[in-house]
Amino acid sequence: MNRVWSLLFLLVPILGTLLIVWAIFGAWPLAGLWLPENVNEYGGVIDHLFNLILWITGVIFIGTGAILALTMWPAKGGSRRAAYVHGNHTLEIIWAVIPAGILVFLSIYQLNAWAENKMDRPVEVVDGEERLVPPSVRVVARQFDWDFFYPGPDGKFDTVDDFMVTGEVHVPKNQPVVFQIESSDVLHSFFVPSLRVKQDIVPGMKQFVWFEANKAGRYEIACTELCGWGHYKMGAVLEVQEEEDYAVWLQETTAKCLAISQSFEE
Amino acid sequence: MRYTGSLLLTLIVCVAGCTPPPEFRQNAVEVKKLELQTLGEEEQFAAGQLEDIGSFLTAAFGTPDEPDFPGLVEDDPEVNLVTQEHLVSAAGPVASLEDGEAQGLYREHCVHCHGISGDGSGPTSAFLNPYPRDFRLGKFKYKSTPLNVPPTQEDLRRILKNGIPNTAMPSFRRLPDEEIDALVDYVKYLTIRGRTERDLLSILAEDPDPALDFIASEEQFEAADEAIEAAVESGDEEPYPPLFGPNDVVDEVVFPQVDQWFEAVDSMTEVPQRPVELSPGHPDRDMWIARGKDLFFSTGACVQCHGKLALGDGQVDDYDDWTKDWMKTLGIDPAETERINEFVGLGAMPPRNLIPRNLRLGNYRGGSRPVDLYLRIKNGIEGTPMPAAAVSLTSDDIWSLVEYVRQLPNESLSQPAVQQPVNERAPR
Ligand SMILES: [Cu+2]
Repeated sequence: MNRVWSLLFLLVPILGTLLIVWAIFGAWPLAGLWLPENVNEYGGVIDHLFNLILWITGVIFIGTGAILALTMWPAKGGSRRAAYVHGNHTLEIIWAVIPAGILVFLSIYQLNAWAENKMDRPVEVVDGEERLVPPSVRVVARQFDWDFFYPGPDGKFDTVDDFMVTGEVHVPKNQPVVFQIESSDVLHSFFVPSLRVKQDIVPGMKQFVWFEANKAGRYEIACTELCGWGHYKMGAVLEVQEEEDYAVWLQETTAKCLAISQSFEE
Repeated sequence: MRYTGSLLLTLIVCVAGCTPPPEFRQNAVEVKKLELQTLGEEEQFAAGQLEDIGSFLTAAFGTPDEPDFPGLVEDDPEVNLVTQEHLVSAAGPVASLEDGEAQGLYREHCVHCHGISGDGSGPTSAFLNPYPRDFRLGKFKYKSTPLNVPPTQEDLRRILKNGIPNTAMPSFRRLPDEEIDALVDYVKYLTIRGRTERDLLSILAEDPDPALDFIASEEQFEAADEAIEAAVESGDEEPYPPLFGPNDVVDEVVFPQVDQWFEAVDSMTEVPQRPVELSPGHPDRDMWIARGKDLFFSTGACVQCHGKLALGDGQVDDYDDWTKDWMKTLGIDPAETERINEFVGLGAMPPRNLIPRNLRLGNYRGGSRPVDLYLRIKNGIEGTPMPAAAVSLTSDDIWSLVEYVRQLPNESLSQPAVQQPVNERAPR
């Protein structure tokens, strides 16, 4: 009977690994469950960290599973009685120090990724002077939708030609883009899986996220902080466009949103 | 063990299949209101007459699973206000067909707030402020047509696409146009069905004689005809003829509404050009805006509700028409908890004051295009105390008001205390 249990426990790492590999290849019925393709120039570092952690935890997961199965496998001619062990200092130190070492390594190793994604906003040179790329869109989360505010023709926020689009935001391809993110009510979280961008939103705080999308297309925006009964439907679309297409869209949308006459088209 | 799977499946199919199909709810609030108004306490309309209305509605409009609309012409969809195809894809349980076409759109996206009968009291409605719209009054707030004219197709589409900022109404921009149009048609369908029910109840209330056959079926109609003939021949007292024959209600109650919806587009309010002086950057803009400010406090009378600082605190004890419809009509005081609760039990939403908009938020429910603000001021907002602009206000006056209001959120008074930027720092 011990052999059956041992083999059953061995199934855990085997099935677990199989499932993950299956999902990575996206074969039916696990298609679309893995992270979508990264389209953010700054997202590679997040993917790298993710994969590194996946490898470390993966190896430990398979290793511990295998050791568990091995220790359960009955020794030839051995006694079937379990022995009572009152701790093992050497082992305890080993399994405390190794994970701690890994954590310390990761926390130091990821410093650059954190800085790149949360602290060092991209800079641009204007009139020979370096400055931070200003936010081009103000994202305001509300229960249960996303409002995207544009500064309008004058390029300045809080002026009379600002306009707002709900549920859809457009950005140009291959350009550093900065979003200023706010909440108008409760906690939300701004998540664009394809960009590897995620930022919690706290009411009363003003935060910035940045990215440089390198592939045109429509990508999902989701709220990843439970914010109320309608949380499940709090989504929007991020459309990355070629620069020319973006310019056309911006012009048309500006005209539409600042319309001073009735027209039948939407 | 071997059968657990199939047992479970049978159970699921049974539970799903055994739920009775949803039904449209009777407008119990309206019935009660009219009974109190015309019959007095404790009295009720004859059950048979209310049944007549229910049967007519089912015959003409079908059920939530199988909707129908009177007078649809199959070969020529152009002449139909709503199409059968749209109704079918919006109604019924949520599903998708083999070709991926969505079904049951209303129940997927709308029903939990607006309710199966379009009465605005779905399960989540109690948590929302403002309450979800009850379509049955036929009143719509944000539209390009004047008061008492239905909105245009484009108005409803815009609301679905943009949502209503600062309310729980989300944007459905990500739905394909075809699905948006299907939902728009379903809203019209619920509205016209709901208003037909109300209109019939009002007609009933005008002459609530229980002896009267309110809406006769084909057979009843013929039988009544014969009875009258027989009475004339024998010289007996003639019985009442039925009030409505089988097709009369459609002709007299439903079609006039359909015509109004069709004609709405011809009544769209004309928006004259905004004076160039008011375009951003014009040297006279400030002067024109000052004129708008003047009007805000004088002829426009905006100050009465929106308050001196435009914070929406001029008055805070009014109600919207959906509440007034029964509460004010019957003279119920909001403090009379028992009477209020009686109506809440029948499906009314607990009364809540309608607070005027804080104009310093820069958040406009009916859309933030300048033309939207023009329409709101010019036409007022149906169903709310916001009135249409005084006739004496010229289009230039209204434009000045629009631009005055539009710049309010940018005044320093409106800006929140300085926020602490969290991850903003100088370039390195
Ligand atoms: Cu949220």
